[in-house]
This record gives sequence, C-alpha cells and structure tokens, in this order.
Amino acid sequence: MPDLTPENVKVLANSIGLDIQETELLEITHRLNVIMAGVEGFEYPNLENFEPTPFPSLEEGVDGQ
Amino acid sequence: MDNSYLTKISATELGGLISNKNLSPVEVTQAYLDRIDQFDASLKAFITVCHDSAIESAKSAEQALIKGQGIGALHGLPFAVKDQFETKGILTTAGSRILADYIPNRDATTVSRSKNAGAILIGKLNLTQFAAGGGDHYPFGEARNPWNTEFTPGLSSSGSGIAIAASLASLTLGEDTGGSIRMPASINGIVGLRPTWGLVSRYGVIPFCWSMDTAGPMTRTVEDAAMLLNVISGYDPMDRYTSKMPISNYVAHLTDDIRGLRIGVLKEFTNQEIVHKDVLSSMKAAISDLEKLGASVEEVSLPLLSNISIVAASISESDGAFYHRKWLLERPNDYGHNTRRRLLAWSLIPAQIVHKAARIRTAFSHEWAKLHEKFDVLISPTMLNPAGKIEHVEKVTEREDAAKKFGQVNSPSFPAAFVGIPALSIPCGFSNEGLPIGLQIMAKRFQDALVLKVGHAFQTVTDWHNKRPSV
Repeated sequence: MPDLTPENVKVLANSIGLDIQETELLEITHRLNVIMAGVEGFEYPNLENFEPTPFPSLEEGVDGQ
Repeated sequence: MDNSYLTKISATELGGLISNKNLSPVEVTQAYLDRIDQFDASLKAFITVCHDSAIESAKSAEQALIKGQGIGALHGLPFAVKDQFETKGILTTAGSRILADYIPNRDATTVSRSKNAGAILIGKLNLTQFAAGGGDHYPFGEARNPWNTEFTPGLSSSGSGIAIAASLASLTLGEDTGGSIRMPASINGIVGLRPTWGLVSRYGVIPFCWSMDTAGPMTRTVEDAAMLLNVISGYDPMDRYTSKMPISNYVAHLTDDIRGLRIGVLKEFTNQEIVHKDVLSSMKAAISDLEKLGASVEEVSLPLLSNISIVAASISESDGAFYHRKWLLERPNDYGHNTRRRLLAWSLIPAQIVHKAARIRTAFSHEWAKLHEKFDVLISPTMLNPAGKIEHVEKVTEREDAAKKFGQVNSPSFPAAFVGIPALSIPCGFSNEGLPIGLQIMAKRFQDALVLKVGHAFQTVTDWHNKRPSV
C-alpha cells in the first residue's frame, strides 16, 4: 500500500470538515501512514472468517475468556 | 501534633483504626490535606483540592461513628479521583483547558458508590489531556514522579499514581484505556487494577474509547484494591455495558495460597533485545518468588503480541478522535499540539483499517484463550522500561522518526485492554536509578479475584509495596 501524500491527507481532512494547518500537515501525514502500515502489515490467516468484535463479552467463558 | 504517620499506612489498616474509633475521620482527613499542602506544589498530583468539603464530610463521618450509625466499607477514608471522573458541584477538567470551567451536576457512579461507602473525597487528580497520552505539557501544572521529579509519573492517570506513592491520598481511582492505570501504577511503585471490561461502571467518566475504557482502583496494597473494587464493581443501570453477573467479595478471596497455580510468562515481553535489563532482573526475581509460593511458572510465546499494540490503538484512538471531533473543529488550539496532531491523524483512519482491526480483535481473543488452556494466569512486566525523563514531543518531520515514536510501540498493557480481561500491576523491584518496576498479572475475563489473589500472595512474601519515596 503506497503512503499517502500530504496533499492526499489534506483532501481527506477537508472531506470531513477538519482543517489541518500547513505547519502540521507533514507530521500528521507521517503519523497516519505509520498507523495504516502497522495494521495493513498485520497478517493473520483467514481473517475474513473472523467476525469483528465490537466490544468484549459481558459474560464469563465466551470465546474461552 | 504530627499526624503524618497516618498517611503512611494502608487504607485497610486505616479503615480498621477508624471503625474501631482509634482514629477520627477528621484527624485522618486533616493529615492528608496537610501533606497535600506541603508537597503537592512540586508534584502536581492534584488539579483541585477539596479542603472545606472534605473536612465537612469528615465531621459527618465522625458523628456517624459517635452515634453508632451503620458505616460503610470505606468509612472515613480520604480518597481522590482522576479528574476524568465527574463530581457533582466540583470542577472536572479531564486535564484540558477545554473543560476548564466544567462543573458537573452529577457524580460518576464509581464516585457516588465510594462516597456512599463512607469515603471522603479530598480532591481531583491530574492527568494528561483527556487521558489521551503524553508528549504535551499538563495544562494545570506539570505532574512529576515522586521518586525523582525529573522523570515522568506515567500516562495518563498520573496524579492517581503520584498521590498514592507520595501518601497524598488513601485510595484513588484511575481510568485505563490502553494502560493508563497500570503504567502509572508501575512507574510510581503502587498497585493498579484494570478490572474486567464491564465489571465497573463508566457512567460519568469522560470517555476516550467506549469499548476499552475501564475505571479501576489505584492503591498502596492489593488488599486495598480489593476493598475498593468491592465497592465500585457491579451492574449499573446507567451504563448498559456493565455485566449483570454476580460479583465476588474480592477481599474474602485473598489468600496467600497459590500452590499448584499454572503461570505463563509471556516471552514477547521478556525478550532481552527490547526489555530493559533492570526490568528483566526484577521479573526473574518475581518469578522465583511465585515459584516459592508453590506456583508452576513456564515461558509461553504468542507471536501476535509483538504487533498487536498498533492494531488495538487503531480502534481506541479512532474512537477517541470521533469523540473529540466537535472540539477539534471549534477549539483546535485548546489542545496541546501533540494531542491535537495525534487526534487529527486518527480522525483520518479509513474504515477498512478499523474493520480489519475489529476482526483481528476476534482472532487475537481466540489465540489468547488458547493460552489459558494451559495457564491460569499470564504475567509480564507492566512496562518494558522504567520511567523515562519528562520530555515533550515538539515536532516530527521524518517518517522514520514517526514510526519509532508512534508505530513501533510494543506495549504489554495493550493486550488486556484489547480483549477486556483483568490486569493487575504490582511493584516488583527498582531500577539501578531507584525507579519502580511493575509486574503485570492477567487472567480470564471476570477472574479479577484470581489476579488479586496472586498479587496479594506476592505481597505476603515481598516488601516492594511498602517502599515509599522520600517526600
């Protein structure tokens, strides 16, 4: 996955109404790219077969926990 | 008369002396207030100190004792809470200038339950801005580590950690999203429990991540933590994500008998390439103590642990960013610049990344459960390093630097937050620089009594929890 550019990030921010100052744009771009690379690089077999967990169960013993 | 010795004993012991009428709640409260006045100017554990209302409450508690009225489990004990917990009629800032004038009209459930059990609120404790981590100055005064004021007091329940370590409160409450109870507990040399998610109400706690935020005790001893958990745990109709399961008497479960207990040591967090040598030495000694208590201890590996922190953070931080969106739009300059950049970056995470993280959460939960087929309890250092010096993140201009600072975080505190299990940090040693080191004990969901039991057993054969900084 290619890194986002500062221009990409600015457009993304504007699309949800956030304004990023020019002085902060580069750092925010680096931060965002690092986060995305960290999750995208996480490999686990057949992940599509695991349904998402929005929050931990409120009962004992679910999922073996 | 110098009553400062009253502030040095455990809350359990102090409570016994009060209920037996050997001590008055007024003299105990005054002793703590005197210490705060003497030492907090340099430590900045408190944002607000409730001098007058605390003395008034203490007088009422004293009258109740004189009249022989029924008393609660925390009767007359001075407690303080992280300034993320709403307190009726008392300033609640969440450590941010944005809430510099916010006076709630309600108490957080944990606060009201503590008061109803007789505890006396003496103040509100310092924290990093909105409990969102560090790197910025504290808007209400720079919190400092009482063991060495050049060092950090930990993130983000900093004031709670300082107040217990420096004997400025008898009991405190903290909040833990990804480690914010356990890290300052470790760094300040005190006990911190992140209870099972859903065991303790979050009502009235200013949120960061709804599926990870957890309120919990930060105390001097494990016994004190169990006593406070007895009071604050259990179903709350005001928090739909509290469990209706019956709760334990956590104090009654404390014994020093852990013979036959199977303990796994997480290899990924004891790797000498990433863990400070003093932390490793303390871990080795702690393992030996647990073995002497009759537990069987064995190393275990879960390779996913090495990369799980950033995945867990992608859920917690993006949720936190959503909570802050309105203020990011309207009052961006009222955040510290590091906190603002952090929230802005997390605001832009694509949905696909968050959905992937939520699926990893399920897979990780399955992997974690497999560990418990062989082990009752899992342990690790609470942190890979002792406290570092206080530093502020000013500007990051290189991607490599960003990766080092924000992307390669391998934190032992995140797994418990990710799967919602109980995790206890207890003191287990000191670095060569004289800074505390913490041992983390984790168990299955709702086995909070078990982690407390192991921690208590450890404290019956060690003395680390009795060490105090010289202040």
